[in-house]
Amino acid sequence: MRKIIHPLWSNIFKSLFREKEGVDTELLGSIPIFKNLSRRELNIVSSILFERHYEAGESIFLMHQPGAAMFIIKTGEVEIQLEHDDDENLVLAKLEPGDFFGEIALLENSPRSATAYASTNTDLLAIFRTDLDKLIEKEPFIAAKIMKQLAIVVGVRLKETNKLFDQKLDVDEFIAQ
Amino acid sequence: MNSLPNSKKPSPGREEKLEFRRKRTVRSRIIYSVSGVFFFGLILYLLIFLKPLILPVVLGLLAAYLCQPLLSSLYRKGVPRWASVILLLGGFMIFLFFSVRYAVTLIPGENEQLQYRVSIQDNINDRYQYYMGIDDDEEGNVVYNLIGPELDPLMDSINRWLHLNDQELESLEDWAAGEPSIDRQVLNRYIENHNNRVLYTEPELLVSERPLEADQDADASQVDDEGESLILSTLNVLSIWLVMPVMFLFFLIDNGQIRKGFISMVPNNYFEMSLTVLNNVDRAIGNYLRGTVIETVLMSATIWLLLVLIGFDARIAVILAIISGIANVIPIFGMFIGIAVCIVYALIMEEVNSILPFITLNNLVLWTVIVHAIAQAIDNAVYKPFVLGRAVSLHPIVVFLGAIAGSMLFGFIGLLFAIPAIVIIKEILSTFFREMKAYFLIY
Repeated sequence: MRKIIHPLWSNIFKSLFREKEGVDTELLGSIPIFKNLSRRELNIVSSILFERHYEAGESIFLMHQPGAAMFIIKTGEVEIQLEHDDDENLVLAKLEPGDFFGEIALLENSPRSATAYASTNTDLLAIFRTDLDKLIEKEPFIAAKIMKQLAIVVGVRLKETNKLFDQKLDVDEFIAQ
Repeated sequence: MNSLPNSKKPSPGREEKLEFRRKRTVRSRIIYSVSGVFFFGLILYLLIFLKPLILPVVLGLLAAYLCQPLLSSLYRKGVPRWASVILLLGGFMIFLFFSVRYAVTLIPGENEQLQYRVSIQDNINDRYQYYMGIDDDEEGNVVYNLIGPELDPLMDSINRWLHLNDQELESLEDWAAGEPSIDRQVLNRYIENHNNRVLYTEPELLVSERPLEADQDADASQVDDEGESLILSTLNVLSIWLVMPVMFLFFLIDNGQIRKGFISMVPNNYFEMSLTVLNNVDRAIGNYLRGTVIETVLMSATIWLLLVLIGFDARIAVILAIISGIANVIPIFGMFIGIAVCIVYALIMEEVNSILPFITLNNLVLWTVIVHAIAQAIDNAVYKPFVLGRAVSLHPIVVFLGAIAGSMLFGFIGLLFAIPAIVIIKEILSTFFREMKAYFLIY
């Protein structure tokens, strides 16, 4: 016969279990900056991640605010927007599950260069700069792998930005001619 | 088959969504405010009614907090986390065991207490008469003529407090007869002076009152009760202090779960700001507390060395130096607590064993003050700049009022912890408001 547990107790046990379970390591392993980490290393990384839920339309961070954390999309969609003086904001990117943003905050304490909004109900994972700094001290091998991947991703994004900039220059020159 | 009643409803429009959100915001604010008030009320209630637990909990947490860098360092050296925790807990327990054992050896037995009372009474009266210039015809010097009428009643009450009754005197003599280590000549002199002690305010002998037979019986039963209550109160104290290693262990085991739990309660708007505030506060308070502990240890060691140099007993000097070092946590006023405690002991000392020939019992009080002045100079010139880094800038009035408020609320322990508590609260508030502005949450 199936044992029926009072819902209150089942909730308590669920939450206890969830605490120990941590963040899904498979999801973490699919993210570019964590892709070279083993399961054990992913478990260590998951212990410093924070899970946050954002409602559709809620801001995750605003342009010019100090940056302290990088975000990874677990579920939902995020828009990166550039704020203008007029009401119309320029949408720079639409990000999907597995994408991450705000990675510069992991490297330095500079203001955010754009605003991030949750365009649908979104679950995010956040990694705090100071926690990564502590990880560098405690687990230098894991941190070195993360930092290398981070550098690659930042490099790729810089190349793409340069390419876009070149294309825009070409178009402007063409129009001028 | 019946479908759910809501399934046929049209999807809510923009206005309804906004109304829903507005209601939810209002509801959230009410619930958070009520639970916040309830939470702070509960904390206040616990602080008042579980007052005896505060010190063991705070000390356990403090010790664990101070051990965190050690834990990280062991982990970096390849020691597993569980082994580091066991190692640190073992070290903590051994430290506690030896501290308590040392403190117990310093507590005199019943007969030794009687001996101390007689010798202290003799020494303190000798010293008082020397400093006040009181000779046989009770003339006294300028100082005595100035403040003598104020000090005489105080000395009389000290004499009454230290005076032994006949029964206690008999018990002391019986015990001293069987103790070869006691200098009988000195003790006899003390006892003789004790029996001829005259009050300063009234020219009469301090007469001991022998308790009546009935009173003796009552006293005997009271002693039994006291014996029982002593065991009970000792057990009670022990059970309360057991909290300290437990708190130490829990806080040491914690691998960021407390922080995560706290952050999970914070609204999204404040998420990054809260992490930044926690991190900055942790860094600032960690530096302050670790610096303060190192400064206290260095000051205690310095004062101990100087006290031994001017002739204090090395074992007693340990206790005096620790009290002075800990009191030094209180800026400006703490120094006077240390000086006062050392002067009281200097006044009741029987002999000086200094390597400096010019230090005698009569100028020991002056040298005690000089020792503290030297220790303070070293503290301000060497320890504080190197250990604490930046000075903790508290206005003297804040220090004074904080120390008084702390002592009124929690006695001597409150006096000691008031200033670190004020520093911590100040750091939390200043960091909180600075970050709130940086994150555009307030102007």
